[in-house]
Amino acid sequence: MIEFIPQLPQVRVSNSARIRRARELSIPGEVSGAVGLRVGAQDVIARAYPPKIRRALSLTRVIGVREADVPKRLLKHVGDPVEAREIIIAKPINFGVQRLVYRAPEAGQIAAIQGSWMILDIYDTPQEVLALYRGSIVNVTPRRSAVIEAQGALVQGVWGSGKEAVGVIKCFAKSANDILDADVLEADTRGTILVASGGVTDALLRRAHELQAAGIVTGSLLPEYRALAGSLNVPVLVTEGFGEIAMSTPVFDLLTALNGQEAGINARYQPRGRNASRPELFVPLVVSRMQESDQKADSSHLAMTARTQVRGAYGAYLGRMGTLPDEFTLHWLGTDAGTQIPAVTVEWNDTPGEHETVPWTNLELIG
Amino acid sequence: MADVPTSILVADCGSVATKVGLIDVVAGEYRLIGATRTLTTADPPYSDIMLGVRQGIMQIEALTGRRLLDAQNALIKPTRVDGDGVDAFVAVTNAALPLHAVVIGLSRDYSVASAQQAVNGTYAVVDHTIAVDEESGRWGTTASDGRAGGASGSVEKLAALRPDIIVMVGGIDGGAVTPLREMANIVAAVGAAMDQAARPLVIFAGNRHARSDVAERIGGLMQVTMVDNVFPALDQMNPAPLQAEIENLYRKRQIEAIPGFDKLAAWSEKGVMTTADAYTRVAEYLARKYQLRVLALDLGAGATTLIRTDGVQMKRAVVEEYSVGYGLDALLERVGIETLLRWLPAPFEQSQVHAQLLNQAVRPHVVPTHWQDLTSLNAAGREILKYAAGVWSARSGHSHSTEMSVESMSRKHQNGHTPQDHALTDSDLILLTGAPIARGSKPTALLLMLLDALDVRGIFSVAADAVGLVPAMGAVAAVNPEAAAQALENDCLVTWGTVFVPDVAARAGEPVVMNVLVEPSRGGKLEADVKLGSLELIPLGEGEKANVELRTGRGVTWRNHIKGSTFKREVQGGTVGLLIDARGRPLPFEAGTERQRDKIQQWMWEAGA
Repeated sequence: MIEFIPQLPQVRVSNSARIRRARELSIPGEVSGAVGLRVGAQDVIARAYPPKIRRALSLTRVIGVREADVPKRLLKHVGDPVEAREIIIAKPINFGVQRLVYRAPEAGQIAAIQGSWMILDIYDTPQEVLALYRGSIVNVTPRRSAVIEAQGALVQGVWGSGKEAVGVIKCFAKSANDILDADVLEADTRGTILVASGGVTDALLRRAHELQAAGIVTGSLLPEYRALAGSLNVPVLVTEGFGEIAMSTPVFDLLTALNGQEAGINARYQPRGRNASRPELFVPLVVSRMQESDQKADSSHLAMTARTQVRGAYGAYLGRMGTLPDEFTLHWLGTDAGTQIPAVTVEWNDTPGEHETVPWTNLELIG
Repeated sequence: MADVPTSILVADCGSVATKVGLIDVVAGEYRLIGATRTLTTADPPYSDIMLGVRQGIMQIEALTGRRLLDAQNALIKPTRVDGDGVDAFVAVTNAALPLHAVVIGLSRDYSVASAQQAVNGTYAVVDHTIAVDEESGRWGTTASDGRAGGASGSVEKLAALRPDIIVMVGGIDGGAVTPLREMANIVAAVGAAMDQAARPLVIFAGNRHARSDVAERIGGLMQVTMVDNVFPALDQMNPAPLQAEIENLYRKRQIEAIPGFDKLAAWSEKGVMTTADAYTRVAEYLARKYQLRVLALDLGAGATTLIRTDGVQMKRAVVEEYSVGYGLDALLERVGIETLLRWLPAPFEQSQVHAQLLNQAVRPHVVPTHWQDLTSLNAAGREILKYAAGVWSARSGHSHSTEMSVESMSRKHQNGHTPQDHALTDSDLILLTGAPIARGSKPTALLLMLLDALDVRGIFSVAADAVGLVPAMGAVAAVNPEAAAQALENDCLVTWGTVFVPDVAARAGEPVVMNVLVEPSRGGKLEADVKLGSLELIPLGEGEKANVELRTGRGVTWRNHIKGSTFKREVQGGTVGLLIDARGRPLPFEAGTERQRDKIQQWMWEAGA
């Protein structure tokens, strides 16, 4: 017997979570929301103007002007916007009869000139940050971010393809291990978040992209589709892992119950660091059911007690739900490799009454 | 508390696991009397590294029955008369994300390569390099279409990146300054175009005579630090000052920003070392004490470290991109699953291996319990080690050494050490720590992984970190060197045995390349013929010694200055025993995938993996 209980990783799957999420611009811009403001999922709360490309070139080389002469030859200066074909620098040649010029290749703005070097930002479409989580702004960092507090159903996953969107949840799966194929998708797929339970085909991924689905939530993804999922405009959220794994029961039940509701899907996957975050899907509660927002956000730590629900995180029990015993202790378990690791007895929910000894580190808290 | 602490609590906070150990005197010797492992809690949702450290300490309390934390969860220090508490606490960590760097220099082969090599020895990732000599001899004169006077693609890439640091190098001391002025203009322009808060720090490690010009152009825009030239003369390399500055920045920007770090630092007697620095100390200690060339490897879940030292000189590579945890995803993207499959026998199915490795990447804390999964991870380990070895020896073909002296590391600034070229092939001791051991891979399987991945030849010993605290002993040495040495050798290191890897030039078809006669000191005799292309595992237990006589056939030669076709040597056994690897180098790979995978299966059987 081992007389200590180490920490377990945790995943939030709850129909009533109170969360705070920072919504950030990747470069400084304008944050339009103010503290206390209620925001909808599709509201733009911040906007920035990232350059499509930063053109870097030496002015001495493009028109043969000396570094010392650059300032007096410039017709535009740092911060000036320029139109396409507008002259930025000019130098007289042939005794002043003609001049050598450098024109802006496209519309943009002069970001910097240092010595002979110029950085010209070519305009791109503005970057807009949606609120994504319907709730209230509780903190603003000028030019960078706003923190939104929201209440609602939360489903966190283990991997996301990046990107985010707002859409209406559409559950296709009848059971937790259905594979979703492209033939079920119709023209009204646009703007929906497709819920597949056991997995998806590559045809479905492509078709969802073509039909402009807002997102895909799947229990598992075949590893060979990982690169494809990352290349599409559709955010893909995987709740259990890679391979062929049924969606765990609480995730499947909650998503089924949320069918038809509007949700925000944030498939950003950042496994390490101060900004580590899990990909997630969030369905806001209706306002009348929200608690007073001056209460603190829910504790992000799940309690570990007797009869706690755990999810298998490895091998054959990946995605399976189980329950810790009434009075649980850890003991040593021998592995194939001959080592001993801490383990606990778990009663899997799909085989009631049967108990299995599972390595402690191969479980995660869910709730 | 005594001047020299006798009871020491040590914590190693990795990116996934936090290991905690307690050292104290037992029967007149320092021993590791308890060691535990728990989750690292630096990242959300916990966001407090101390949570994991305290959990580890509580586990030690449960193991030893000794109270270490008081009612307020503060460390009891110094040791009380009733035996509770400890005299000292030390910690190492690599839980922080690496710095991202861009190297910009005058010459690809000299200044850029030297700086890149220096950066690779730190917790920094080089995202991009720019070399003037690749820009048609003048800055930015090569457009993507080859047209002179166009924009510079490499500079544009720099402008699009958001590095933490820009390392500027170029020119020997006293050389031309003009190209460096132009380089400074570039960096200044890129910096000026960035938001003030996002501007990178600039480290100038080039021609010292250009410092004022660089400072004049960049200083008003970005923070600039001047360090000694990384390439001060054509026959001299001086990476230590640049590395020291990057380590300093890593500490300030990344490590000190770990949530809860202030509490960890407040507990620690001598500050918190990086894991790589602490491990380097251990490798250097073993190299000096036993007069060995030590190759120390750390296959971590968040980073891979490769250190080679002979006690006088040291060279290190820290690879953050690929690891046997978080970095598996990036590894698969870089090499492809097919490359990994060549290290796995036929029954391993591609999709399953691929899925298992990706699942390990998203849940690096999971401990695989099945042999197949451990074997797949060791296949990935081979490719990671090969990559790390490549990073380590990136300039091995260069006429100038990239080595740094141990003294120069400790004193930070020392120029002019003797260039000396040596490679990973010549090592006397391989030391392994990291996740594969913690996950429970068999020593024989891990030894085969090392032999497959690293081109080490000759006769050498292999030892491993039994409890995951070997690197942390480098930090213990800072408060009590004797305790570190004794705990290291008594309890942390486990000897796997001795390996024989000859150079085999014999033609395939000559069946026997070597005859081995083993006479263990406990008595008895064992004789074996070793065939070309095979591995021979001879049991010789831990602590046992044996006289080995090797009679080699034509075309078989040895490193380690062994002459002649017959020689005797006393060797030590270990968990694995004696392993003779007569496969030849480079390893003979079969052309067809299936045949290759059959061969891997055979090697695994022969090595007991």
